[in-house]
Amino acid sequence: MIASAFVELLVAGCLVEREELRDGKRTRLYRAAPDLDLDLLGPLERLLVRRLDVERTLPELLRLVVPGSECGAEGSAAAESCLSPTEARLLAETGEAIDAALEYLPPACTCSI
Amino acid sequence: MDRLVLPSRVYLDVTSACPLRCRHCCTGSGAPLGDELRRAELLDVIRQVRRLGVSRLVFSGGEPLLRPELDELLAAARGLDLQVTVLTSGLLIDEVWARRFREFSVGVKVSLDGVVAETHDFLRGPGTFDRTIDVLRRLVAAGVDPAVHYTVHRRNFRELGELPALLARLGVRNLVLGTIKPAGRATAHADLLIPPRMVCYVQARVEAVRRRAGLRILSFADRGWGEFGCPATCNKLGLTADGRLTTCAFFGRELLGDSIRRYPLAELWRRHLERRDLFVPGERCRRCPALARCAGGCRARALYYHGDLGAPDPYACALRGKQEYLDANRDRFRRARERFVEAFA
Repeated sequence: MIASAFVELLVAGCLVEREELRDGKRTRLYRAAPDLDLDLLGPLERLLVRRLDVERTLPELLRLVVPGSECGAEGSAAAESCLSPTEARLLAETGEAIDAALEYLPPACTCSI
Repeated sequence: MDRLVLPSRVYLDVTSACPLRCRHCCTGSGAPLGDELRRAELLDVIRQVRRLGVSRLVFSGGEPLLRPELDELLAAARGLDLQVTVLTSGLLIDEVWARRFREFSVGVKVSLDGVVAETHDFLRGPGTFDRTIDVLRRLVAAGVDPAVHYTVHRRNFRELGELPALLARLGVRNLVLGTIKPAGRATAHADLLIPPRMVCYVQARVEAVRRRAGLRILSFADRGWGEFGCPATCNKLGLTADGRLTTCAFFGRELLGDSIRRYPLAELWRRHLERRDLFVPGERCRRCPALARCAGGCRARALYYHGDLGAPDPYACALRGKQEYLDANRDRFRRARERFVEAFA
């Protein structure tokens, strides 16, 4: 459920996202937003937030929180070619969170005056 | 009256008296007001509701069941074919009342603010959880189709996911979800309020419950985003137990309108509409492209967080930010369905 927790935190604005060039490649870095209310978060989300007390890439984060994960390890092949079993699990876990995010549209005001 | 936009419903506080002193009570109910509307006045209000052309009447408070004439008021309202809902802690509903509610075919909305006793009782007082559960069972057994009103706050939010299962066990099919408002007694318990920073996260969890619950989940936001908007202001007419128009239920007594003792209900409503500029968001909101959708959100929250009635509602702004982020990243999220790491790396 790490992946869905990551997506939910990201969509909720609990993670600050930034891009930079690393070795000529555009890389996204994530860090926990300041002043998060940890009491409201679930255990997995709290774990992610703690691990993101400094900026990390997603592969760096995954290596920290998914035991045995080598996805995106430095020096490994590009992310798109690595760790299919883990990736498959991440995708399976996170489908609902992503679907929910994509479907998100706040209800409009229904005020009658 | 031809062109008057009618309120969607009328909230009538039949008393401010309440046996509880809930920490999050937005009206700060407890003791009765000094000069509450008398029986004949309440019956007259009910007739005026019908004459105004409004079909929905809500008996609220305080605890409506503390009003000795409640049975007569219900009979009068139903006799005029009004749809009636009673907002209650439920604690005073015995088998006789449960049967009466069934006979009157009135809606009963019972407050339940936790899935376990510790959480609910923290807010409402020792022993109230068990009594509330008993009451819900009693209502269902009597053939009433009650709704549970669950006010989401910092201390009960984590239990929300377990709520549908509890309600299913009780046979309760209707759930009203709301968020705690910075009003009444809740302002003295700011640790219960959901910080604006966390609103998008909480909202996503609420939506997840909505998707999975298998319940009829209702919300009453007039302005703003769903349960996180304003359920109180612009198209509902409220009267306090002493007959004053509640310009907004979450402003306390500071901005009350005129009294039903001075003006008929239709005139009170007309005056309410004339004061609606009170709720017009200020310049910052007027420059915002989201205004058409959120209408500025909750003015009481704007006042609480910014000290300014015209300021943006931070909840509405947070949810707008979420929408903007998603709009800007939809392609990436679509890609993430197939290549998760690649999409976010």
